Order: sequence, then C-alpha cells, then structure tokens
Amino acid sequence: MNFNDLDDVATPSTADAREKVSARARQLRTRRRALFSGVAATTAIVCAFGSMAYASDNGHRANVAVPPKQDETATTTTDDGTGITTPTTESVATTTTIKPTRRTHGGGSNGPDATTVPNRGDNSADISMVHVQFLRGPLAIAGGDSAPVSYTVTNDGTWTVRIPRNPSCVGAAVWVPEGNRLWPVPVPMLACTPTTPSDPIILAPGASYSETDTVHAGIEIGVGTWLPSPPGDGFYYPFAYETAPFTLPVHVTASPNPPFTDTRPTDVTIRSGDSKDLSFAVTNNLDIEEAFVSVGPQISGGDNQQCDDSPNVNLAHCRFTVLAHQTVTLTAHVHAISADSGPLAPGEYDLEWNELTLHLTVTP
Amino acid sequence: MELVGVTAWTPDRAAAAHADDFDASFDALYVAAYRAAFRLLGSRPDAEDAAQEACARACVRWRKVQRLDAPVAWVVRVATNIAIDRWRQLQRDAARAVDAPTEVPALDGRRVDLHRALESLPKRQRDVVVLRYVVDLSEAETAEALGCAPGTVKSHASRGIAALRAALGEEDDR
Repeated sequence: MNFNDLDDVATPSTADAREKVSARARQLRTRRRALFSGVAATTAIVCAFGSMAYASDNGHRANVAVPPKQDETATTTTDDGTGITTPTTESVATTTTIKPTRRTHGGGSNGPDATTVPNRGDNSADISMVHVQFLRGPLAIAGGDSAPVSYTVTNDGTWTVRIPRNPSCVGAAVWVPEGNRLWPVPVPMLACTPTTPSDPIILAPGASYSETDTVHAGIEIGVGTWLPSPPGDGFYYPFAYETAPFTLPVHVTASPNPPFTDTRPTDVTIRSGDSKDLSFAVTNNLDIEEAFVSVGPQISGGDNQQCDDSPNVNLAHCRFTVLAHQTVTLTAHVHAISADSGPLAPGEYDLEWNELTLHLTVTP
Repeated sequence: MELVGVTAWTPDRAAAAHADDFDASFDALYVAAYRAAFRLLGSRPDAEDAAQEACARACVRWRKVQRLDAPVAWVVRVATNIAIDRWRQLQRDAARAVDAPTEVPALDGRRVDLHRALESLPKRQRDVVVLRYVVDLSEAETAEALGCAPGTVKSHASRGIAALRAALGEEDDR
C-alpha cells in the first residue's frame, strides 16, 4: 500500500514557518501558565466544599442534592496522547433551570429570560445554549437490532441556531470497535458523502424540535443489509456532534443472530517442542460475503497475508473472506517452543487467539 | 495551599536554554510534520497550520522531546493527530456547506476514503497504521512515537494494514 502519491509536489518553506512557530510557542507557554493557575483555583474551591460537607455531616444534617445551574461549567483537560494538555470548557448541566416557552421549529417573542442567558446576537453556529433531551436513559440493544429513540432539542439561547444533520454521515448506526475480536470487517460501507444534502435544524430562540429516530446496532453494508455491531459500549448521535450532550450511550449486547459462527478448539495438549495442527472453522451466516482479519496465536512473521494462500501461512494478521452461508476451515499450527526457539517448558498456558483463550497443556 | 509548582515554573528560561538545539532541528522537524499532515489533508494551508502547531508544541516541550531517540517521530505524531482532528472539522464544515456551498472546498475523494477506512480501525491500530504506512515511519520510529515496543507496532501494523486494505477494497500488493 503506497501513499507517496498523496505528497505535495512542492517543498514547504521553513523560513516562513520559523516565525510563526515561534509566535505559537509563545502563545502555548502563556496558555500553559494560565492552565496551571486555573488548576490551582479549582483545587481551592474543591477544598472549601469538602470542608463544608464534613461540617454538615458532623451536625447530622441530611445531604441535599443540588442540581447544577444551567450556566455552570467544568474545566477539564484533554491530552492528545503526547502529554500536552489543553483546557476545554463544557457544560455539565443535566437539569435545565431556564424554561422558555417551547415551540417546534418556531420561536418568537417568548424567549428565555434575557437576564440569565447571554445575548450574543444572531450567531447560528454557536450551539452553547442548545440542549438535547433523550426521552429515555442509556439504550441496551442487541447487535443487528434496532430501536426507536426520541429526543427533543431546545435552543435556550437568545439567537437563532442552525444544527447540522447529515443523515448519511451521522446518527443511527452504532458500531462498537471490534478490538482484537474476530469480527467481519464492515465493508463495503455505504458511502458517507459530506456533500450529501444536509438537513439542518434551524431553531429560533426558545424553540424546540422533537424527533424519533431508529437506532441500529450495526452498520449498513448494502442497501437494507446490516452487519451487526460487536457487543460492547457505543453511542448514538443524531447530529454532527459526537460529544455530550448530543450523544446517547448505547450498550450493544450479543446478537441473537450472529453474522458468523466460529468453531475452534479451546483446549489442546502438546508435547514440549512439538507442533500440532488445529482446525478452525468460520461460517458466514449472512447473505453477502464477509471479510475477516484474524489475530492468530502466533505473532511472528506472516505480515498481512491471505490466510488461505498457503497451508503454511501464519494465521496472525492474515485476512480471509467467506462467501454467503459458506464455511471456511483454516488450520492453525501451534508450536510448543519458547521465544528462544527451544522446547517450551511443560505446564499450562493460555494463548489469546482472536480474544478467545486457547488453553495449552504442554507435557514433557 | 502551596503553589510551589506554579511559581517555580519558568518556561521562557527553560526554552531559551534549548533554543539553539531546537533551531538546529527545526527544518527536519517541520518538513517531516508538513509531509505527514499534507498526506492526510491534501491542503497546503491546513498542512502548514498542523506542522506549525506541532513544531510549536515541540518547542515548548523541547527539553523532553530532544531526549527521545527520534524527536522527529514525536513531532510527526503530533502533526498527524492535529491533521486528523482538522479533517474531522473539515468534514463537519463540508456537511454544513450545503447551505453555503462556497464556504468550504470539496474534500479530495481518495482522502475521504482513506479517512473513512482509518476511522473504522480501533484507535491503537489507527495510530500505528497512520505513522507506519501513511507517514512511512520505521517500526522503531513508530514505537518511539507511540511509546510502545516494536513488537507491539508490528502486530498492530499487520492487522491494521490488513483491515485498512479490506476497508479500502484493495488487494494485497505482495
């Protein structure tokens, strides 16, 4: 796979970039100083609340839950994985204290209290005062199944907002990352084309919009054909925002109609230093071809090969396809040898194989 | 409350002490970061922006970054993270652009496919595939950038590139 043709034909000017980088570095240092100060202030506030709670408990007063106000915010940090933190601010309110008159796709004079909501004029891109209420708690759904989800989105600001939706790119398909589990690769996915006509929701101040959507625990890989999601935790997001409060957690349970059946041994006994073949069968339960990527019990060599090219290919990281309702049988070669190529010491071993455990008993 | 860590921190002096080292390394860092970002974004202004931001972060943290075996790998990783975030933003902008089509340029089709395929990978695999294959870092450099063992890179890379090929509908080019 070659990405050289994605290169720029020109070489960037480093001379021009030096000054800009220098200026940015100065800004970053300033922001880091501000962040340190912010953390110190937050710590002071938390300490004060902690002391108050302790005093209340000693006085045998009942705990009182205080809902957060609409304009309360929490300062957190995000790390891009490089150790660099940047401050972000997001609303943590789950209870609305501002109650504008609700209308659908309308708005007008009965907007929210102007004394408690910042008036920023007409800023359609500012969604800071838009709130989404899902009319149910976290959703649990079996892979491949679907369920209706209703939500109401409300503009609590004093300006008109435009909330982008693109039905082909967002929303109803919930997919839990498969990790190292053996699972069909979701191809071909139906194209998400950003230029597909979007269907934005335009909300006047105080207006709200309600919708019922159908959430699928899977990805549509052909018109009307859905590949069930692996089990696990994902989320549904009806708009182009993948962060709270625009997301609903979805727990995907194992599909009652799994897209494939994986048959393989779970226990094997082998003499130290010997090799053994293990049959491993995958049956496609769908009406279309499925592609898989295997993570085998061996991790050396065998760099990205077709599993069925050769009887000697390593099953680690190879890929294979199974036609509709067909079964492919592969052979795994288990070698009771140690990392230094000597005989593996007798004993009990567990090998991870596509997130399933192969129990290996090595005899002398 | 003690604020020792805050008041004792003097980033300007620390940065100045290592300014010469950073300056000497700048060209290599910037070109590598730009190249990585351009492959992902396909836009000179956006790639320059990502490369400048990555180099600025390296400059601020140069005391630590220069101790790495491959500072370039660190900068490239930061640039790719910024580029991927920028791409997502461009996609969102493009989705909104239907109402104002002149505001956002059309996204390059091949890169759209590439990013869609990358998004289908688990995060660790995606990180490895981007650095190892899209940006062409070596196994050792990728391991350095991600803070993991070369063997881990190898296992993620193999599976990741297989999944990427499958998602892109490409056959093996062995």
